[in-house]
This record gives sequence, C-alpha cells and structure tokens, in this order.
Amino acid sequence: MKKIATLFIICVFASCFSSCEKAFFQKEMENTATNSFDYLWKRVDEEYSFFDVKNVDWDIVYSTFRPLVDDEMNDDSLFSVMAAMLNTLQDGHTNLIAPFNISHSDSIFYKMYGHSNINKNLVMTNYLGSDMLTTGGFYHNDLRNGKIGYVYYPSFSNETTDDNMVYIFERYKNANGLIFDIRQNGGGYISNLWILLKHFTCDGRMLYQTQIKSGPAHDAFSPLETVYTYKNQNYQPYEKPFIILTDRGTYSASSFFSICSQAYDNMVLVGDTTGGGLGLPNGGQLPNGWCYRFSITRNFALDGQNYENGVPPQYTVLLDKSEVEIGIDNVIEFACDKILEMNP
Amino acid sequence: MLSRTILNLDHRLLLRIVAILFISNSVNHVFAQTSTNCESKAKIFLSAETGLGHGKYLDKGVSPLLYKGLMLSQGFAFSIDINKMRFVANATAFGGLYGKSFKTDLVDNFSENEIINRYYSKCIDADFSITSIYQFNQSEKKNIRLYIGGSIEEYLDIKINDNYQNSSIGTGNFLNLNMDFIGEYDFSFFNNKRTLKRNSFTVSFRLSMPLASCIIRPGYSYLINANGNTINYIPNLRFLIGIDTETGLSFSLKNGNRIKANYYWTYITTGKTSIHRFDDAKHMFCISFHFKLN
Repeated sequence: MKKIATLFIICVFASCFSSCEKAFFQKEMENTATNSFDYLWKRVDEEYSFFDVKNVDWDIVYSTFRPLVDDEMNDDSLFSVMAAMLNTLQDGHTNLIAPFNISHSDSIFYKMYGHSNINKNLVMTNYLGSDMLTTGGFYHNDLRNGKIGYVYYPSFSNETTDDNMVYIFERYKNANGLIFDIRQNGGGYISNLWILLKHFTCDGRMLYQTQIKSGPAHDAFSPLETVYTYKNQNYQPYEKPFIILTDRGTYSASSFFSICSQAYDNMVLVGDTTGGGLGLPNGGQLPNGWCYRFSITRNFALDGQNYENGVPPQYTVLLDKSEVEIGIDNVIEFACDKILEMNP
Repeated sequence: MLSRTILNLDHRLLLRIVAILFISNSVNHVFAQTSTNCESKAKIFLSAETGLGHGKYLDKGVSPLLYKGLMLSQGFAFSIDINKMRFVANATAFGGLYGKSFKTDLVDNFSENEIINRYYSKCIDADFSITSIYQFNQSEKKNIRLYIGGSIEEYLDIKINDNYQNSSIGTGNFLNLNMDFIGEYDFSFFNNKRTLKRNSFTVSFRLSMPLASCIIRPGYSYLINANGNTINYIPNLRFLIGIDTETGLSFSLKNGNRIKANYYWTYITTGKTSIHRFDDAKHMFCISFHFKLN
C-alpha cells in the first residue's frame, strides 16, 4: 500500500508540473475581424520597408479603413477592406492570402500585364523556333546566322545550374554576344541570381547594398550591407556583350538581376523600365488564419538609388505593334544591332 | 558593433558558467571517490527510446495562433554509473505535424455547408545533452536514490510552415546549461525470487531546469537577409527559460537490462522580453530499452 501511495504521489507531482504549462504559455489572439485588421495594420506599420518610397501615411490609412470593420462582418467583406488597405502601398510583393482569394496591388498588376513589351508567340515562332534548345529553365537558339545567341528566361523559379550556364556559354562561344530576355519574368528564387552572376566574373564583385528592418520605426533599418557575387574559380567568365531585355513585367528577382548589371561593363539593359519589387517579402499569419506578405528589406544599386518602383533601361525600346504584325520583335532586333556594334 | 559586444559578453559569461559546472562536478567526483567504500565497478548502459506525444507552440514572429499536433520521437542514450556518479549522453530527434483549423464565414447565406480551412506546420527538433549527476542522499535506504547535477543541452527547433513564404522556416537554437534533480525509488510488487530480482521496479522522477541559455532566434524581421550570405539571426542570453520533467517506471530483468516507460513534459520559452516570443511544450509517452553493456 505504501508503494502504491508513493507511486501515486510521484504521478500527482508530475502532473501538477505539466498543468503549470497553461500558466506559462502566452495567450492566443482571439479570432475576430477587428483583431485581424488591427494585427495586419500593426505588422505593416512596424515592418514594412518602403513607406518613404511609396509616400503613404499609414496612420491616415488606418483612420480611413478601420471604421469599415466590425466583428459581425463576413469574411468576404473583411477581405475586401483589408485588401484595399494593402493596395494603398502599391507593392507587388504585398498580398493578403485567404483560402478563397489573394489580393493584388492594382496599378502593379496593370503595369505588369498591361505594359507587356513582348509578344511571346512571336518570340517562340520567329526567334526561338521549333529547333530551340531547352536547358534547365532556359530556352535558347542562335540568331543572325550564329552571330547572336538568344536566351529566353521566363521565370527565376525555373531551375538554374552551373552546368546550364556552362552549356549555354559554350554553345554560343563563337557568337558576338548574348541576348538575355527576361521580359515578363516575374521573379522567383533569388538564389538563381548568384548562380547566373558567378559566370560573369572571377572576383567577388560588389553588386548592391541591402538593409533589413530592425525596429518598429519606419526608418529603423540595419546598417547597409554590401552584397557581392560568389567567387568563381572554376568557370571562364563571360566577357562578350550581354544585352538584358526588360519590361514592366520584369519583377522581383529579375529586377535584382537588372540592378546587378551596373556592376558589369559588358551588360546593357534594353527595353522598358522594370516593375521593381526590390524588397524581399516575408510572410505571416493573422488571428483569423489568413496569411500575408510584404517587403521588409530595401536595396540600393551601385549608383546609390533605390529602384523599388522600377529599374530604367540604358536604351528604352518599346515593342512596335506594326513591326510585330510583320513578324519582327524590334526590341530583339535592336539588341542584335547593339551587340554587333559593341563587338563587330 | 554593439550586438557583437553583447554577443562576446554572453559567450564569456556562458563559458564561465560551463567551467564552474565542470569544476564542481570534478570536485564532486573526487569527493565521491574518497568518501565511499562502495564497489567501484561501473555500470554501462546503452538505451534506445521511442515515443509518441502531443505538442503545441506559439511563435509570435510569424503568427499569433497556437498550433497543436502530434509528435514522434526517437532517442539514444549512453550512460555510465560509477559509484555515486552518473554520466549520460543523450541524443533525441523529434518529428511532428501541427495544425490549426478555421471555419470560414463567406458571403452571408453563401452556402449552408461549412468551409473549414486548415493550416499545417511541420516540426523537426533535435536534442543533444551531456549530463553529470551525483547521488547526494545517505545510503541508509538503499532503495531510494536522490541525485543532483547539471547538464549541457543543445536543443534545435525547426518549424516549417509554407504559408509564411520567406519566413517559412523558423529556427530556434537553444544552448542550455541545466540543473538536474533526479529521484529514484526501487520496489517490487512480487517476491518471486526465481524469476525476478528483489527490486525489479524503479519509479523515477527527473526535474531539469535551464539556469542559463544562449538562444539564437530570427531577428526583428524574421528572415534570412537578401544577399544569401548573412543570416538575420540574433543571439540572446536568458535565464530560467523552461522546465523539463520525466516520470518513469522501469522494470529490471535478471540479466541487468531494463525496460522503461516514461512520460516527459517539456516547456521552453524565449521569454516576454524577446523580440518575438516563442513558447513550445511537449507531452511525450515513451518506451525505452536499456541494454547493460558490462
């Protein structure tokens, strides 16, 4: 009996400890419409990195939208109000993600899709052709009797390896230069950027400077940190002309690639201003379970500019519809001429 | 610069605490050698433990919601008993799936069917510890043993929730210096000496508390920085950040091997003053097999 009593005491002792957990654990936020709205507003207020560039008074935004929210409203209505609040930032990296809908910044949306500087069907039929090569995420072929290599890279989410890059550079080693087409490339994995850029230099070259939000004040950022390419000791760097084609749909990782071109003498930007999106977005969850994302870093190109709203090209060339009708992409043609001019 | 200085101070302080622990254990060990005439033969055990349990966590860096779920664990331990000292090296891995569900209230009268949305978070934990304990009670009652000592523990916690995009992987690294207390009581329900040893059963209770911890958790923006080279993780020194208990019942076989059933409860927090408070608790029921190697 004494043994059983001892066992019992120990078990009670142990269970007492485990029920202490409730006293220690922080409280979960209650799932109400007002809590979710306030939580999102506060997270953006304390962590968003582009208030200065977007020129938005976030307190005014609160006083405009907060009266529209009450705990009795349904999820659809709440989503509309919160999406409208985020839309004031005009940032393609800012989204509200509910199980039934995803919000988009309207002007970014129309810039990306309404100002497309590429006709993909034309590129496929008249420039890449059915004999195009597909190497990882790259579609490529030669132009102008082998004098130009043309590489179409539609997304940074596509696989990119060192072997892919070596294959492409080897294949077009006798060409006068390469066209790298990232029009309507909406970004993807920024890690692909380092793989690409490694093949253009042997040294760890300075690319841009970055800062991350480090406190709740709108101007609280970590010290500027310089970003370099990886050192390349295995591959011959590509030093011939390298023309990058951009448009408003060139966003996020592909805009990063565009600002990095400033570090290389052989890289030239041609086309339209990019869509921007140079802040790295983070994500999180609201008390009602919906998720969000917004930018929390800012980056400065080598010329010291913050190109969040778009990287301008060195040569602005817009797609000419009359040329398209006769089967010509005048942006590619301009790039071909430029390469032959730089490296006759 | 300031954070580097703080980091250096933290490391220095931790190193001092580690040194004090080792010195005190060595003194204990020497004391144990000279004051007892017990048999000096060491008992060496290798054990494997499998468990199933329930866990929950709340990480304010990414969500104000409490996630709950099931966990599996697999651990291995190596222990040596020499006189009144016991040394244990332990490695345990945990894997779990946590979830949170919500009822969606779409357009009014949109549908009579309920729409339930579920969010999942995967969890991978690893725990490594080295424990050194000393039996401090007198040996009048040989069936009761009380130990006190310390342990160094490395606890790695990884939570993965794809919904958080660039913040989808939250990693917490806890390097703890623990104080351990263990009580063991041997008894037998049966007196069948032909099949069982005299005290075949041992009930045990362990209480472990991290006195000091070096915590490395995501910084303010909870994200790996944009250049892919540096990581926005910040180290902090914290005191008394959790509790770890173990209640067990073991059965000794005649050949010296043991079978043990354990209930673990662990709770760890980064504290109210941390940038993003993180609370994590586990309740695990485990079965372990202890093989006597000598």
